[in-house]
Amino acid sequence: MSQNIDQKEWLIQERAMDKPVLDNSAETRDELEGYRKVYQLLDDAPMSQPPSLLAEGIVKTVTKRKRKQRVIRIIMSALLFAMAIAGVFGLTVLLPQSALLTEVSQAAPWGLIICALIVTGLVGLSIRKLAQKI
Amino acid sequence: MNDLTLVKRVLSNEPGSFDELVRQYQKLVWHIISRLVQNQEDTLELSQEVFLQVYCKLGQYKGQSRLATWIGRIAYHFAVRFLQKQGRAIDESDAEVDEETKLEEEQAEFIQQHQLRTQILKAMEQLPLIQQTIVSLYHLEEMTLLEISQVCDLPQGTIKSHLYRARKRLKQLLQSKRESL
Repeated sequence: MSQNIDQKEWLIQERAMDKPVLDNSAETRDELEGYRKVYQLLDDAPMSQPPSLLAEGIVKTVTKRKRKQRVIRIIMSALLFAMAIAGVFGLTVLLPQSALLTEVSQAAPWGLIICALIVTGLVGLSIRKLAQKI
Repeated sequence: MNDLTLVKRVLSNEPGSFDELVRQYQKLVWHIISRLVQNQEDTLELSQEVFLQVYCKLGQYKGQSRLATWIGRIAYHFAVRFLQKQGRAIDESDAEVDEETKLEEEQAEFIQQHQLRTQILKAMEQLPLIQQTIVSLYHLEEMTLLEISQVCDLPQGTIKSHLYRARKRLKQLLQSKRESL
Protein backbone atom coordinates (compact mmCIF):
# COMPACT_ATOMS: atom_id res chain seq x y z
CA MET A 1 0.00 0.00 0.00
CA SER A 2 2.97 2.30 0.64
CA GLN A 3 3.50 2.49 -3.16
CA ASN A 4 0.49 4.82 -3.26
CA ILE A 5 2.49 7.40 -1.36
CA ASP A 6 4.06 10.39 -3.02
CA GLN A 7 7.47 10.01 -1.40
CA LYS A 8 8.33 13.69 -1.88
CA GLU A 9 5.19 14.79 -0.08
CA TRP A 10 5.72 12.17 2.64
CA LEU A 11 9.14 13.70 3.30
CA ILE A 12 7.59 17.15 3.46
CA GLN A 13 5.04 15.86 5.97
CA GLU A 14 7.82 14.43 8.11
CA ARG A 15 10.06 17.49 7.80
CA ALA A 16 7.20 19.74 8.85
CA MET A 17 7.54 18.23 12.31
CA ASP A 18 11.01 19.77 12.69
CA LYS A 19 10.97 23.37 13.78
CA PRO A 20 13.62 25.14 11.66
CA VAL A 21 13.02 25.00 7.93
CA LEU A 22 16.06 25.61 5.74
CA ASP A 23 16.76 26.03 2.02
CA ASN A 24 13.30 25.28 0.71
CA SER A 25 11.64 26.51 -2.45
CA ALA A 26 8.57 28.71 -2.04
CA GLU A 27 6.32 25.83 -3.03
CA THR A 28 7.87 23.46 -0.50
CA ARG A 29 7.77 26.16 2.16
CA ASP A 30 4.02 26.56 1.64
CA GLU A 31 3.53 22.80 1.89
CA LEU A 32 5.64 22.66 5.04
CA GLU A 33 3.73 25.54 6.58
CA GLY A 34 0.43 23.85 5.75
CA TYR A 35 1.44 20.64 7.50
CA ARG A 36 3.01 22.52 10.39
CA LYS A 37 -0.32 24.26 10.95
CA VAL A 38 -2.08 20.88 11.00
CA TYR A 39 0.36 19.52 13.60
CA GLN A 40 0.11 22.65 15.70
CA LEU A 41 -3.69 22.43 15.70
CA LEU A 42 -3.48 18.74 16.59
CA ASP A 43 -1.27 19.62 19.57
CA ASP A 44 -3.58 22.41 20.72
CA ALA A 45 -6.90 20.71 20.02
CA PRO A 46 -9.05 19.96 23.05
CA MET A 47 -8.92 16.19 22.62
CA SER A 48 -11.25 14.01 24.66
CA GLN A 49 -9.51 13.12 27.92
CA PRO A 50 -10.14 10.24 30.32
CA PRO A 51 -12.28 11.23 33.30
CA SER A 52 -10.27 11.92 36.44
CA LEU A 53 -12.00 9.05 38.26
CA LEU A 54 -11.08 6.45 35.64
CA ALA A 55 -7.91 5.27 37.38
CA GLU A 56 -9.62 5.22 40.77
CA GLY A 57 -12.53 3.14 39.40
CA ILE A 58 -10.20 0.66 37.73
CA VAL A 59 -8.04 0.23 40.81
CA LYS A 60 -11.17 -0.35 42.93
CA THR A 61 -12.44 -2.99 40.48
CA VAL A 62 -9.07 -4.74 40.45
CA THR A 63 -8.90 -4.68 44.26
CA LYS A 64 -12.39 -6.23 44.40
CA ARG A 65 -11.33 -8.86 41.90
CA LYS A 66 -8.19 -9.64 43.90
CA ARG A 67 -10.29 -10.10 47.03
CA LYS A 68 -12.67 -12.37 45.14
CA GLN A 69 -9.74 -14.42 43.85
CA ARG A 70 -8.33 -14.73 47.37
CA VAL A 71 -11.70 -16.04 48.63
CA ILE A 72 -11.89 -18.48 45.72
CA ARG A 73 -8.34 -19.65 46.45
CA ILE A 74 -9.20 -20.25 50.13
CA ILE A 75 -12.36 -22.15 49.18
CA MET A 76 -10.39 -24.19 46.66
CA SER A 77 -7.75 -25.09 49.22
CA ALA A 78 -10.41 -26.04 51.76
CA LEU A 79 -12.18 -28.15 49.14
CA LEU A 80 -8.98 -29.95 48.21
CA PHE A 81 -8.12 -30.53 51.84
CA ALA A 82 -11.61 -31.94 52.49
CA MET A 83 -11.28 -34.17 49.43
CA ALA A 84 -7.93 -35.48 50.62
CA ILE A 85 -9.32 -36.23 54.07
CA ALA A 86 -12.37 -37.91 52.51
CA GLY A 87 -10.05 -39.92 50.28
CA VAL A 88 -7.99 -41.16 53.23
CA PHE A 89 -11.14 -42.01 55.21
CA GLY A 90 -12.66 -43.69 52.18
CA LEU A 91 -9.59 -45.82 51.69
CA THR A 92 -9.40 -46.86 55.34
CA VAL A 93 -13.08 -47.82 55.30
CA LEU A 94 -13.05 -49.47 51.89
CA LEU A 95 -9.68 -51.17 52.17
CA PRO A 96 -10.67 -53.96 54.58
CA GLN A 97 -13.98 -54.52 52.74
CA SER A 98 -12.70 -54.73 49.19
CA ALA A 99 -10.67 -57.77 48.26
CA LEU A 100 -9.29 -56.04 45.16
CA LEU A 101 -8.12 -52.95 47.07
CA THR A 102 -6.59 -55.10 49.79
CA GLU A 103 -4.69 -57.04 47.16
CA VAL A 104 -3.52 -53.87 45.44
CA SER A 105 -2.49 -52.22 48.68
CA GLN A 106 -0.53 -55.31 49.66
CA ALA A 107 1.08 -55.71 46.26
CA ALA A 108 1.87 -52.03 45.61
CA PRO A 109 1.04 -49.75 48.53
CA TRP A 110 3.05 -46.86 47.04
CA GLY A 111 1.25 -47.27 43.73
CA LEU A 112 -2.06 -46.76 45.49
CA ILE A 113 -0.79 -43.63 47.24
CA ILE A 114 0.62 -42.25 43.98
CA CYS A 115 -2.70 -42.93 42.20
CA ALA A 116 -4.58 -41.12 44.98
CA LEU A 117 -2.18 -38.16 44.73
CA ILE A 118 -2.56 -37.98 40.93
CA VAL A 119 -6.35 -38.02 41.17
CA THR A 120 -6.26 -35.32 43.85
CA GLY A 121 -3.88 -33.25 41.69
CA LEU A 122 -6.06 -33.56 38.60
CA VAL A 123 -9.17 -32.57 40.53
CA GLY A 124 -7.23 -29.64 42.01
CA LEU A 125 -6.18 -28.47 38.54
CA SER A 126 -9.73 -28.73 37.23
CA ILE A 127 -11.03 -26.68 40.15
CA ARG A 128 -8.31 -24.09 39.51
CA LYS A 129 -9.26 -23.85 35.84
CA LEU A 130 -12.89 -23.44 36.79
CA ALA A 131 -11.95 -20.75 39.31
CA GLN A 132 -10.01 -18.85 36.65
CA LYS A 133 -13.10 -18.76 34.46
CA ILE A 134 -15.23 -17.26 37.24
CA MET B 1 10.70 4.40 35.10
CA ASN B 2 11.65 1.28 33.19
CA ASP B 3 8.61 -0.66 31.87
CA LEU B 4 9.80 -3.99 33.26
CA THR B 5 10.44 -2.49 36.70
CA LEU B 6 6.90 -1.15 36.83
CA VAL B 7 5.52 -4.51 35.67
CA LYS B 8 7.54 -6.36 38.33
CA ARG B 9 6.25 -3.98 41.00
CA VAL B 10 2.66 -4.60 39.91
CA LEU B 11 3.19 -8.36 39.78
CA SER B 12 4.66 -8.35 43.27
CA ASN B 13 1.53 -6.49 44.47
CA GLU B 14 3.44 -3.41 45.56
CA PRO B 15 0.87 -0.91 46.90
CA GLY B 16 0.07 1.87 44.45
CA SER B 17 1.98 0.29 41.56
CA PHE B 18 -1.07 -0.68 39.50
CA ASP B 19 -2.57 2.71 40.19
CA GLU B 20 0.63 4.22 38.76
CA LEU B 21 0.43 2.00 35.68
CA VAL B 22 -3.20 2.99 35.03
CA ARG B 23 -2.43 6.70 35.44
CA GLN B 24 0.55 6.40 33.11
CA TYR B 25 -1.33 4.68 30.28
CA GLN B 26 -4.96 5.80 30.70
CA LYS B 27 -4.56 8.60 28.14
CA LEU B 28 -3.20 6.20 25.53
CA VAL B 29 -6.00 3.69 26.09
CA TRP B 30 -8.58 6.47 26.11
CA HIS B 31 -7.29 7.96 22.85
CA ILE B 32 -7.29 4.63 21.02
CA ILE B 33 -10.72 3.53 22.20
CA SER B 34 -12.47 6.90 21.92
CA ARG B 35 -11.18 7.38 18.35
CA LEU B 36 -12.55 4.01 17.28
CA VAL B 37 -15.71 3.75 19.36
CA GLN B 38 -16.73 7.44 19.23
CA ASN B 39 -18.89 7.24 22.34
CA GLN B 40 -17.84 8.38 25.81
CA GLU B 41 -19.82 5.80 27.81
CA ASP B 42 -18.60 2.86 25.76
CA THR B 43 -15.06 4.25 25.90
CA LEU B 44 -15.21 4.41 29.69
CA GLU B 45 -16.49 0.84 29.99
CA LEU B 46 -14.00 -0.53 27.47
CA SER B 47 -11.09 1.32 29.10
CA GLN B 48 -11.92 -0.39 32.40
CA GLU B 49 -12.09 -3.77 30.68
CA VAL B 50 -8.77 -3.13 28.97
CA PHE B 51 -7.01 -2.40 32.24
CA LEU B 52 -8.57 -5.47 33.87
CA GLN B 53 -7.21 -7.51 30.98
CA VAL B 54 -3.83 -5.79 31.35
CA TYR B 55 -3.84 -6.70 35.04
CA CYS B 56 -4.72 -10.34 34.34
CA LYS B 57 -2.19 -10.76 31.51
CA LEU B 58 0.63 -8.62 32.85
CA GLY B 59 2.62 -11.74 33.68
CA GLN B 60 2.86 -12.41 29.93
CA TYR B 61 4.64 -9.11 29.24
CA LYS B 62 8.30 -9.90 28.72
CA GLY B 63 9.55 -6.51 27.56
CA GLN B 64 9.82 -7.37 23.84
CA SER B 65 8.17 -4.04 23.05
CA ARG B 66 7.38 -0.87 24.97
CA LEU B 67 4.65 -1.36 27.54
CA ALA B 68 2.72 1.40 25.73
CA THR B 69 2.71 -0.72 22.56
CA TRP B 70 1.64 -3.83 24.47
CA ILE B 71 -1.20 -2.03 26.25
CA GLY B 72 -2.14 -0.11 23.09
CA ARG B 73 -2.48 -3.39 21.24
CA ILE B 74 -4.88 -4.75 23.86
CA ALA B 75 -6.92 -1.53 23.74
CA TYR B 76 -7.04 -1.56 19.94
CA HIS B 77 -8.22 -5.18 19.80
CA PHE B 78 -10.85 -4.59 22.47
CA ALA B 79 -12.22 -1.63 20.51
CA VAL B 80 -12.17 -3.52 17.19
CA ARG B 81 -13.96 -6.53 18.77
CA PHE B 82 -16.52 -4.15 20.25
CA LEU B 83 -17.13 -2.56 16.84
CA GLN B 84 -17.44 -5.99 15.22
CA LYS B 85 -20.01 -7.04 17.83
CA GLN B 86 -22.00 -3.94 16.97
CA GLY B 87 -21.69 -4.67 13.27
CA ARG B 88 -19.54 -1.57 12.78
CA ALA B 89 -16.46 -3.14 11.24
CA ILE B 90 -13.38 -0.96 11.00
CA ASP B 91 -12.28 -0.27 7.44
CA GLU B 92 -8.55 -0.93 7.23
CA SER B 93 -8.47 -0.93 3.45
CA ASP B 94 -7.69 2.78 3.04
CA ALA B 95 -10.49 2.94 0.50
CA GLU B 96 -11.39 6.37 -0.75
CA VAL B 97 -14.77 6.04 -2.38
CA ASP B 98 -15.92 8.94 -4.49
CA GLU B 99 -13.33 11.15 -2.89
CA GLU B 100 -14.10 14.37 -4.77
CA THR B 101 -17.83 14.46 -4.05
CA LYS B 102 -17.26 13.49 -0.47
CA LEU B 103 -14.67 16.19 -0.02
CA GLU B 104 -16.97 18.85 -1.44
CA GLU B 105 -19.78 17.85 0.90
CA GLU B 106 -17.41 17.79 3.82
CA GLN B 107 -16.00 21.17 2.92
CA ALA B 108 -19.47 22.69 2.77
CA GLU B 109 -20.22 21.37 6.22
CA PHE B 110 -16.76 22.28 7.38
CA ILE B 111 -17.24 25.95 6.51
CA GLN B 112 -19.82 26.12 9.28
CA GLN B 113 -17.15 25.63 11.89
CA HIS B 114 -15.66 28.79 13.32
CA GLN B 115 -13.48 27.91 16.25
CA LEU B 116 -9.91 27.35 15.12
CA ARG B 117 -9.24 24.69 17.71
CA THR B 118 -12.35 22.71 16.96
CA GLN B 119 -11.64 22.80 13.23
CA ILE B 120 -9.04 20.11 13.54
CA LEU B 121 -11.38 17.93 15.60
CA LYS B 122 -14.09 18.30 12.99
CA ALA B 123 -11.56 17.48 10.30
CA MET B 124 -10.39 14.44 12.28
CA GLU B 125 -13.95 13.19 12.56
CA GLN B 126 -14.16 13.16 8.79
CA LEU B 127 -11.29 10.71 8.51
CA PRO B 128 -11.83 6.93 8.56
CA LEU B 129 -11.64 5.51 12.11
CA ILE B 130 -8.34 3.77 11.46
CA GLN B 131 -6.75 7.00 10.22
CA GLN B 132 -8.00 8.94 13.25
CA THR B 133 -6.43 6.33 15.49
CA ILE B 134 -3.13 6.35 13.62
CA VAL B 135 -2.90 10.16 13.64
CA SER B 136 -3.59 10.16 17.41
CA LEU B 137 -0.96 7.51 18.07
CA TYR B 138 1.67 9.17 15.86
CA HIS B 139 1.16 12.81 16.77
CA LEU B 140 -0.30 12.71 20.26
CA GLU B 141 1.23 9.55 21.72
CA GLU B 142 4.42 9.97 19.68
CA MET B 143 4.57 6.31 18.72
CA THR B 144 6.75 5.18 15.82
CA LEU B 145 5.35 3.59 12.65
CA LEU B 146 6.66 0.22 13.84
CA GLU B 147 4.93 0.56 17.21
CA ILE B 148 1.66 1.58 15.57
CA SER B 149 1.90 -1.37 13.19
CA GLN B 150 2.28 -3.64 16.24
CA VAL B 151 -0.69 -2.02 17.98
CA CYS B 152 -2.98 -2.25 14.94
CA ASP B 153 -1.63 -5.53 13.57
CA LEU B 154 -1.09 -3.95 10.15
CA PRO B 155 2.06 -3.74 8.00
CA GLN B 156 4.19 -0.62 8.45
CA GLY B 157 3.56 0.33 4.81
CA THR B 158 -0.18 0.38 5.43
CA ILE B 159 0.25 2.53 8.52
CA LYS B 160 2.47 4.91 6.56
CA SER B 161 -0.08 5.12 3.76
CA HIS B 162 -2.94 5.81 6.19
CA LEU B 163 -0.89 8.48 7.96
CA TYR B 164 0.11 10.11 4.68
CA ARG B 165 -3.48 10.24 3.44
CA ALA B 166 -4.85 11.42 6.78
CA ARG B 167 -2.38 14.30 7.04
CA LYS B 168 -2.91 15.28 3.43
CA ARG B 169 -6.65 15.28 3.94
CA LEU B 170 -6.43 17.27 7.17
CA LYS B 171 -4.28 19.85 5.38
CA GLN B 172 -6.74 20.05 2.48
CA LEU B 173 -9.69 20.51 4.81
CA LEU B 174 -7.96 23.20 6.82
CA GLN B 175 -6.78 25.01 3.71
CA SER B 176 -10.25 25.01 2.22
CA LYS B 177 -11.53 26.52 5.45
CA ARG B 178 -8.89 29.23 5.41
CA GLU B 179 -9.59 30.06 1.76
CA SER B 180 -13.31 30.28 2.41
CA LEU B 181 -12.81 32.86 5.14
